[in-house]
Amino acid sequence: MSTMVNMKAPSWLRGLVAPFRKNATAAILLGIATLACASLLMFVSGYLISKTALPSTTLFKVMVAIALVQVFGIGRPILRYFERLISHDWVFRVTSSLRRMLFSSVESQAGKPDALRSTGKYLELLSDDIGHLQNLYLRVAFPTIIGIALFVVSVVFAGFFSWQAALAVFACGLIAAVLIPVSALLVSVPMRRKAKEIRSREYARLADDILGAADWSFARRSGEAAQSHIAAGRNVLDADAAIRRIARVADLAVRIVLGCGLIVLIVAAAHSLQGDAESANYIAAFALGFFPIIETLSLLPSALSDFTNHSDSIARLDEVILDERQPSSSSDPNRRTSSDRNYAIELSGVDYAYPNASANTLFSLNLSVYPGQKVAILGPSGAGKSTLAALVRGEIEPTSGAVSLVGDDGTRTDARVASSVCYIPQSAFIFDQTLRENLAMAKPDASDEELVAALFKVGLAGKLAALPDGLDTRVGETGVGFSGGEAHRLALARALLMDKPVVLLDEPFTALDPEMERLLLDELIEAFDGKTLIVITHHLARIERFDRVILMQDGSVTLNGEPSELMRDNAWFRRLVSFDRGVFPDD
Amino acid sequence: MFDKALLGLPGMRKVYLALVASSLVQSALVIAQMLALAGALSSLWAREPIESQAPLLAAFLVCFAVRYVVSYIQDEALDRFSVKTALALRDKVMHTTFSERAGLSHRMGTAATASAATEGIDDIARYVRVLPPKLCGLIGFSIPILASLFFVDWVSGAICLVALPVTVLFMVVLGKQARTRSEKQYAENQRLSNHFIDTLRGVETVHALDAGKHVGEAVYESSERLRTTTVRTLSVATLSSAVLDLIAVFGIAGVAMMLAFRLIDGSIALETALAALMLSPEFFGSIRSFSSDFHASLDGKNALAAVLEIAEAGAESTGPNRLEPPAPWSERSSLYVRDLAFSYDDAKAALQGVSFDVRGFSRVGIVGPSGAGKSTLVNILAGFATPCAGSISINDTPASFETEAWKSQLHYIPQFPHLFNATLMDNIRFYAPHSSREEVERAADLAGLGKTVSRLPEGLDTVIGEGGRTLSGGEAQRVALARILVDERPVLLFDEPTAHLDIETELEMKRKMLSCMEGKLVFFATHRMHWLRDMDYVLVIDGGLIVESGNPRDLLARDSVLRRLALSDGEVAA
Repeated sequence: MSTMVNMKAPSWLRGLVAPFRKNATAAILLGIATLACASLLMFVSGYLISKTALPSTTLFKVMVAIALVQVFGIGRPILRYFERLISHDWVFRVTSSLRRMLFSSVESQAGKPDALRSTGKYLELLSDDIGHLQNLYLRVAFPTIIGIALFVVSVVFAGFFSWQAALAVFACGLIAAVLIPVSALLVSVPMRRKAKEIRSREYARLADDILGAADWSFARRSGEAAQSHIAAGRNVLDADAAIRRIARVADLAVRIVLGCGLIVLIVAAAHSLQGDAESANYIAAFALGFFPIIETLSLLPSALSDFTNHSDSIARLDEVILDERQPSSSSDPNRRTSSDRNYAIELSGVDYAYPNASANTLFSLNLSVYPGQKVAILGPSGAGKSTLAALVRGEIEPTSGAVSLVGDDGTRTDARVASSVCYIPQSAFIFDQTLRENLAMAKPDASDEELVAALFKVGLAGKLAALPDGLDTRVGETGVGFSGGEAHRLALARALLMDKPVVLLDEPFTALDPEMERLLLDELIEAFDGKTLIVITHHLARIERFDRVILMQDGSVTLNGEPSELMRDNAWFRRLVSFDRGVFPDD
Repeated sequence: MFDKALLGLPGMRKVYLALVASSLVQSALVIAQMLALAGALSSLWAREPIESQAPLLAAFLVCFAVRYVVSYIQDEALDRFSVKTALALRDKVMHTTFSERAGLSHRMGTAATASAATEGIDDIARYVRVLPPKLCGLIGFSIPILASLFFVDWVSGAICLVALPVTVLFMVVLGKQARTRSEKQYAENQRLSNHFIDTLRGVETVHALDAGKHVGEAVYESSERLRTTTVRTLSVATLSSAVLDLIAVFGIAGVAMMLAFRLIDGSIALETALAALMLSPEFFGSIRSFSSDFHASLDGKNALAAVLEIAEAGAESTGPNRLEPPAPWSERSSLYVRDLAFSYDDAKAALQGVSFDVRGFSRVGIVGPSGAGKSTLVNILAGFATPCAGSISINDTPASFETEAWKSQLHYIPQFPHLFNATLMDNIRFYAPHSSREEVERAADLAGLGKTVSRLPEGLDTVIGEGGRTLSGGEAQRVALARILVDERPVLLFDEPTAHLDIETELEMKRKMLSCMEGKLVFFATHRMHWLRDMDYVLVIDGGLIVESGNPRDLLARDSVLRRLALSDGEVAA
């Protein structure tokens, strides 16, 4: 079995579950007690009416039985109530820890240029996986453990009265609770795998084609696309139906086996209990007590077959979660250096090759940026600009050479340790939280005055005034919307709050219209006056306001100078600028 | 619980009838099974030999087995029906999505369409499987069992009958409260889950801000807060199902005790008592299952409504637009647009009073600040959006941009062309799937894809797009260009094709695009002003109106809106 289905929990999962072991045990014990109550209620009732049917029986003689009927009757719903509360509470506790673990794993890998693809769809999958993990416990693991435990308990219980009855319960329980569910699982595993493959292939293709629906229409091939998806949809649903059929067949088999088991149980009970009138009362008790067990055990095949659905989730989480990971960079106290010093950035003889890449991305790069300089890095995509940025941020280490920050007293620190760089990523992400929370991420202990001051400095004073609840207004997707320009301003406000001596921007503002782009570049240059500013860009907008222009091509610096100098001396640069601004005929 | 949309599905009424019939058969088998077992057990209690009870035990086993076989057949048939129904709806969604009218799926939203055709269809199939058997089981199973209880022993019947309204009352009163609460909780859970996804999406920002630890704790804390409230909600929601359970076990215990009292005074036989005792759990069990699976029904109901809406939108749109197809656009063709207007969802007009004339193979630039209405005009020209007023005529014949006839003459090149997850070759010949390898190679070469092809491991046969090799924005734009080179059409519609490219790539692409435009009618929406000098005519849009139009050189020469727009675009190299 282990060859087809890996049932072993990864160590991070065991670590997550361990602190809450007591709650899990309590939930399982309560679950067993609940089901035992259901069975005992029928058992005692059967005994009660058999006993009372004896002519000699008086009410006094069955007082205990009547009391037990009430105890088991009331006991079941009450135990069940607490079982559900405790098991859910347990699962949510595990979930909270899992969310934190998953987040910090993703976060610690986020800075690398070859980081995990953080597409929305993938992240949604990860988040769904947490739900799958909850169901794995609540719907698969707990019911299976409880069902099997109940089975063992009933065999022992039956053994007290008649070993034949115990044997009968054991034999049919073995078939119904173990043999059939496991064979159903084994049969359905390859089917599920195939169904899943068909499904995900069709879903991916469908998403692709829906995004390209306009192209299908312009190509006059819409009918072709519709037909192919109609056929694929049939396969998807049919594959699932086949799996459900297996579960139904298993369910039918379990019930028929248990029906036969009931007959065997009655025969066994009759053989051993028909000796005297008193013990004959237990024949009906056994028969009636068996019905609730039929109900419980017939749920096992479907619970167990669900396992494969959830095990994929564990596998996916397993890929993302870093087990026993090194402390993430952000937890290193040295990273939060203050800005009271200025730094020059020096790259000397830097080579960089991505792991598993055949060729270098950067070739013996030498570069110095002086404190307070405003530098624009230009170059086509793939030239190595983003790799350069990751090196300066200290996210990656050069394959050879060094990236260092040189203090004004001449001390050198490695970029990986110093982290005096504030980085503003290309997309200005606004979290679906309050404006305050969005800003405080950059400086958790900032006062309101500081937050407001930062907003004023980036030109968001008007926006702030217009917000219904000021800093406490929800912004982002479900809250007050920010336009593209405003979102970038918010990102700048965060950078101001971080207050690092070096500010690095990767292709900022390119999604905005040119007017807004120029406006924001002006504001950026003013807001970060006195700090070292490195802007990776592929536009020439406001290029004249930078102190230096660096052009990168194929992993090397091919041009490096002041913009006015380059305008004067470099024909190629002049041509690009005149193309960029060439609105009017130059003839 | 009752959903008109569900009942309205084809064949649904027959399914309901069949389900009631199947429930009736099952209830009859359960009654027979329990009577046989009660007979056997009471004889065994009287210490009659087991052999004499063989016929009754056999009868029990047969009824027991047949009952579950019937139930199996019912589920199997219903499953097939649910798959058939879901597929029929999915087919409609597919036809709507991939209709010749490209605008439709554009308008419905790609995400909404995709989720309707995937999870939505599963939800509907589940809904069809879950809801009808419950309703029919109540009528066809619970009621006959109750009747048989009365027949066997009216006191037990009466106890169950009393429990029924109490159960229903609790289901209504507590259930309603619990549902509102759990719906609220469900929404809250969704919110947290979205919040978590949102935080993961912004992880690059979190990392850049060095806020990982802080945000990770916040994630944990909000998850823990949710746990507390969820468990509190559950403690109420679960209470209602605990009360239902309690009523059921009180019912069974009550039946057992009343039977015991009457057995003592000898007013009832053991056989009768056993039958009554075994039938009452069946009754309560069937009532219990009626109130479960609430979320499956809720999701199914919503999914069904969403899918029906899409399916209907597709059905509506097949009617109109039966205009005469215009002749292919040529040197002598003309297009007159008069007073075109458009608004999104009853909001303020996004575009109004748009009029212009185009003749032959000219190049028409569409410029204006962001949000002025450029994209809306492009969407109308591409046939994605239906104007709410105005008239269009091509070659002096009334026409519409949403017709197949117009679109078959047109190529549309957006800012981010969609690359299909297919080979580069199939992507290039997407509009002309029968073109030869040589034609594709030539187009790829002309579009400047030579370097890309040699870089890719399997050249033209490399799979690109989502899940394959990713191409840069510039390369995607070259693929779009190669596509239109393979399949020549007389009208080209560009929507901001170069704004996101690096300047060198833009310069190179511009040359290639210009040579493509020879002998074509071109509409070119852009805010990169350097394109203006290559346009014959320009429409300047601001605030949803055409504020200026004419030859760009003339307009730039005098004090015009266009000139002011151009001047703001950096220092003009005059």
